[in-house]
Amino acid sequence: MAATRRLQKELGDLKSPNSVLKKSFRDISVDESNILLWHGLIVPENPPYNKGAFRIEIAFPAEYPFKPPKVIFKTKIYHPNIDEKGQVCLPIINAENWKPATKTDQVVSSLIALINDPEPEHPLRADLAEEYTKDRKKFMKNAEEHTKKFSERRPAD
Amino acid sequence: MATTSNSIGLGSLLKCSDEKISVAVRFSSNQSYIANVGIKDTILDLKKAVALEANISPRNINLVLAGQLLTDSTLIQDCGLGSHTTLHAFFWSDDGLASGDVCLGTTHNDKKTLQTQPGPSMESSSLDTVHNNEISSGVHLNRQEDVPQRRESDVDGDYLLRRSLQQTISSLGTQLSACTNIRNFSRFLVYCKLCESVQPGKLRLCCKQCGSGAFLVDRGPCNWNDISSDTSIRGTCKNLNCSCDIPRFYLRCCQHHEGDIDGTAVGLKHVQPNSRRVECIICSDVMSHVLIFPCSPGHVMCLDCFRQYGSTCLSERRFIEHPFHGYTLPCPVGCSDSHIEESHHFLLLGQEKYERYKNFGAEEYVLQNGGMLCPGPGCGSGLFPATDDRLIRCRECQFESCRECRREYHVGDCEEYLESLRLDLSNLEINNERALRASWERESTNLIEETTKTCPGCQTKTERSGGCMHLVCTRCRTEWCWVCVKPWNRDCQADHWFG
Repeated sequence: MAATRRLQKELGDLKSPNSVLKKSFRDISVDESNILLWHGLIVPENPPYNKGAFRIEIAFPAEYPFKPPKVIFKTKIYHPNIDEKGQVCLPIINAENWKPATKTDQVVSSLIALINDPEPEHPLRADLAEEYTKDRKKFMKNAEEHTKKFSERRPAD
Repeated sequence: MATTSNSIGLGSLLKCSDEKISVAVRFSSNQSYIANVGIKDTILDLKKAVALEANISPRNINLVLAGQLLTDSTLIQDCGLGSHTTLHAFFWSDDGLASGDVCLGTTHNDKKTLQTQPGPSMESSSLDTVHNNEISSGVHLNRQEDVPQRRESDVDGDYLLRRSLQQTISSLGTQLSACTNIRNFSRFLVYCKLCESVQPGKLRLCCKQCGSGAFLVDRGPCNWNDISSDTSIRGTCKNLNCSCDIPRFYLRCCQHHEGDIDGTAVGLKHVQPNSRRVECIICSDVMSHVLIFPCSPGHVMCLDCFRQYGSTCLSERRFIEHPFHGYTLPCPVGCSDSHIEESHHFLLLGQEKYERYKNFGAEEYVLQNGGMLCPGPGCGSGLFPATDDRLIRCRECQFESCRECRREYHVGDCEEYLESLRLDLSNLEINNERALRASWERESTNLIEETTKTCPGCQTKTERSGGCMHLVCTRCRTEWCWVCVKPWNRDCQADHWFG
């Protein structure tokens, strides 16, 4: 159906050496038997998250692209917009905002932008948002320690 | 007027096969002839066959298809005719005046007349003929004028008009259809209700007033506005009893349907053959036919994806009520000027979903305009209560409902009424059948009570099928919280966004 054909093409584009995300979204793997479930490694540029990398899972519904994919963090992250279960609220994949023409690279770009620049005004973890707004230094210290302790190793190149 | 019908054999009298088709030729006097012609035959061959039967000269016959005169050298196969297509004919006497009567015996062998039958055809060869032969062009365009001879300047004016139109047509290229070449008719795609599918359409026209097909247009249509009911195109009805100059365009399915009537094929202005081989914005495939949204980038979707797009948006009630185009959808990118402009495109979703689309559209119209839907069992009529009374009576089913809780009308507080209903149900002492039915209905009511919550904006029973606790009502657009059943706020976002 539409989902399979399109996801194959999107996967090809994301894995291509020309992809603008080739440095920040890597190790994209898809189970051969299920193209609707992707895994990948987010490699953020900005501190405090640039001390590590974060595994994510992208789950596409069978109705994709008419319904949005879901993104879950598999690596723990200290971030006001991502909760302890790894759930993240990305406006671009919100059911109300979703446009079937939106491509996965745009979703991932939007996710990377959110990680690099938290949005404390729309928090999922109110405690971290408060810390981020009121005591940035403390937040950076905690987040960096958390990143070193829990995140994945960054690729060498 | 009596209609006579005669069968004419052209060459061998074979019935319709791949090589031969039956074509009906109808004169404005209502005489009609059916000719079996080979698809490799020319229009002149067809005229000869008809002329033989009607006992007139072939050069006195003019054949009209879709408002255009057919030239003698045109091949039947290039006319886009189906079996039993009717061509309209009018007589053309050699004194240069049209006639609705059969002019028997007036067969002058004037070669000039024979060679110059271009009429308003837009082919370049006929353009030159028009330019070089003022008699023909003048007469063809102004047959019914009282002034028999045209001035040179008028002819040049006609020529210039044609020339400019020709250039416009060339520049617009593929968007144009009927005016350039009859072969291009299939650029019009229709949804045929009899075939239940998209089919190439055939553009036809007749006189708006008398319905006669013997109607010549001054120029060919160049866009969908030209073939709409308020077309700016004018022409001449060849029915001598009619002075109407306005054509009525309509589309037919290319398949012949017995008893085909108007309205079974509807034009799909946004659907086109994918001549530029553009990828579908959804699945990235290049398909033979595509829907092109009317936004400035012209986003393209294949018809399979459009069906899925429409079905998903319909079940999620994501269509919007547009001030000009009604209940419709934008392109999947969300361009502001991209809404489907003609509701028949949603026939592509299938008959059942199209019916649902029409119902939803009517409901949406009522709700968006401050009305409500009758909560009476099986009713759902749109109501616009005139007063602020809590009692609302449906004009259709006479059901009386409460404006506050949208249940059956009751005296007193809504919550107390609901509680009393529950007590009533448990105290039933009725016969078995009624008890069974009551319990069935109670199960249903209980199920609704258990699985749904009520939108704080419009009281619509809402079921949450996944996602976060932040709901947007599909009816009144209220943003509310599934946990608190109150309008969404920052506390909800911070405390229980995901439950």
